[in-house]
Amino acid sequence: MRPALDLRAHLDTRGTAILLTISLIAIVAFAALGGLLQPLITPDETSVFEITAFILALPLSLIIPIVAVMIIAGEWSDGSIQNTFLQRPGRTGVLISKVITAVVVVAVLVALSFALAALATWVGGELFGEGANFDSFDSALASQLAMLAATLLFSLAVGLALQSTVLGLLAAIGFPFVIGTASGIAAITGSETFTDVVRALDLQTAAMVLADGQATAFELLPLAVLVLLPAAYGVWRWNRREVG
Amino acid sequence: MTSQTTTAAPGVAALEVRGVTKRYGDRAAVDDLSFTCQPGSVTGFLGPNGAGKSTTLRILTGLAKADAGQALVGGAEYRSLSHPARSIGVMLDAGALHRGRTGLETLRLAARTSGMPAARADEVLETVGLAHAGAKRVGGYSYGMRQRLGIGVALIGDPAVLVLDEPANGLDPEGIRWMRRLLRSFADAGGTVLLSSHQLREVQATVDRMIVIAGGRLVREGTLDELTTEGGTRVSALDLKMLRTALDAHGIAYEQRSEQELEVSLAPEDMGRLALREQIVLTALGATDHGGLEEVFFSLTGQSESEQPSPVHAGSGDDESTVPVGVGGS
Repeated sequence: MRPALDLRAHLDTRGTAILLTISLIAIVAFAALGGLLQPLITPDETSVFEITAFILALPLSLIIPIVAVMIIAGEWSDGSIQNTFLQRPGRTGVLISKVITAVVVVAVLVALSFALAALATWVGGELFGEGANFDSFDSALASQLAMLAATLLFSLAVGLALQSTVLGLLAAIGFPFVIGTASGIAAITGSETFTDVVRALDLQTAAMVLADGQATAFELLPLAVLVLLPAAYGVWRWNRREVG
Repeated sequence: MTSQTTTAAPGVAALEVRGVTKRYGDRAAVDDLSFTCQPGSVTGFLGPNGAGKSTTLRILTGLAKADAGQALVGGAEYRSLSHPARSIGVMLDAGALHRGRTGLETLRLAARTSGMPAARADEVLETVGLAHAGAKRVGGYSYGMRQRLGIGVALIGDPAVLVLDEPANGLDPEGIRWMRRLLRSFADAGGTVLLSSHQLREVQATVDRMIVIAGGRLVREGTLDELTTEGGTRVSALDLKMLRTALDAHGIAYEQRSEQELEVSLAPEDMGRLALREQIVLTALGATDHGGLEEVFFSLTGQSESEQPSPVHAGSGDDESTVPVGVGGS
């Protein structure tokens, strides 16, 4: 396991430099949008942290899958995994190291985002409104973190299972979108079976319910279906797949 | 190669492929293949497309698993090596280098992975002739430059063994000459080189020994001279009748080439020994020239499509056509 090496290997490429630059711009822009502009458009002219955090979660739900899938599957797609395995033939060690790298990069981005959210909320409330509101700080942080953690786990699992950047990104970004749409349709149709099927595949909602402490055993189903199963298959494939 | 280099224990082959078989469905990509590579030699690994060369190299370097048999580096499996780059440098596909990283960073990362100092990257960059392009991203390199960088990555851990797949591809004449010198000096310093190539002229100019495979099976193994001259020795004697009688007595096949010359199915040194034992005065002795490596290659591998070649293991001594194993010097 050499996560420092994988972190360096991830950060020293042009693709990552471009991705991180765009990500930072997006995070700053959405923090400003959420925290600074809130008092100007809300009736009570306050800046609420919960809303800023929610707005910042939008770019993060795109950035996290891209970062996670690129770290886990990127080398399979561009073929450089061959050199990695030639220099580090212990495949399980490489995999664990890459997972740690992805978690560290995402954790830094998320921490930075929430720090910016808090700062923007405070500055926006104090400068442009009637003050900042941090009353729901803990619950907002918990639910958003749970949702983003679910996004990270799902992205890692599909990146690992598919071992392709394009397919991994399609699944990691596209699937939650499909489930979100299906959830709306289920609510409109009122079909219990359809609702249960969607609920069984809605990892983000399950994660937020889990964070609220209201989860039942049913909320563990998306975790098993969308994270554990693909991850188990991915680990098996990672160790057996021929390279070259 | 320096004194820090990890070398195989005495008596252990630097590279050993022992009865390796690999199947994809019903097709055997590699079929009971065995060979060894000894220190101080450049071994050419030849075969037509689909002969199983790349599969063998991937098995040897842990990128694929054999269904049967073993492939060993200094007596150990590649996957069990903690810092493989310190023992064996591998370049299978220069296209596998990350295109978004600079040449120097590629080597620095490889140096760090193999536990070498960062300065080793600059040293190797100089060795492979890319000092002027170290800050350039690999995506902007020509194919030849990528080959050089790939060889640089293989050299980074200062290994005792080099395994290179088609290293001359994309290199200009100067680059080919550079690579030839590099491999020669590496082997002369006691290193072991296994070189897979389609370029027969390149192989002929670089290697000491050759392993020829077809249909996943070994068809011939030996020194370049042995392969290009196999089939006989031209010999003349003061008393040709006495020579014929001696050959008949030992059951050795021969053909009359001219009034004064026979072609016998023995290696020149064996013919010499026989003449000494029988006290025959030879007036001429030399290996029969059956053409270049190209002719030998096609005659050896051409059978693979129409009929399965019967594997001939070097040094078995059971078959007169068997080529003895030997580490030839060049």
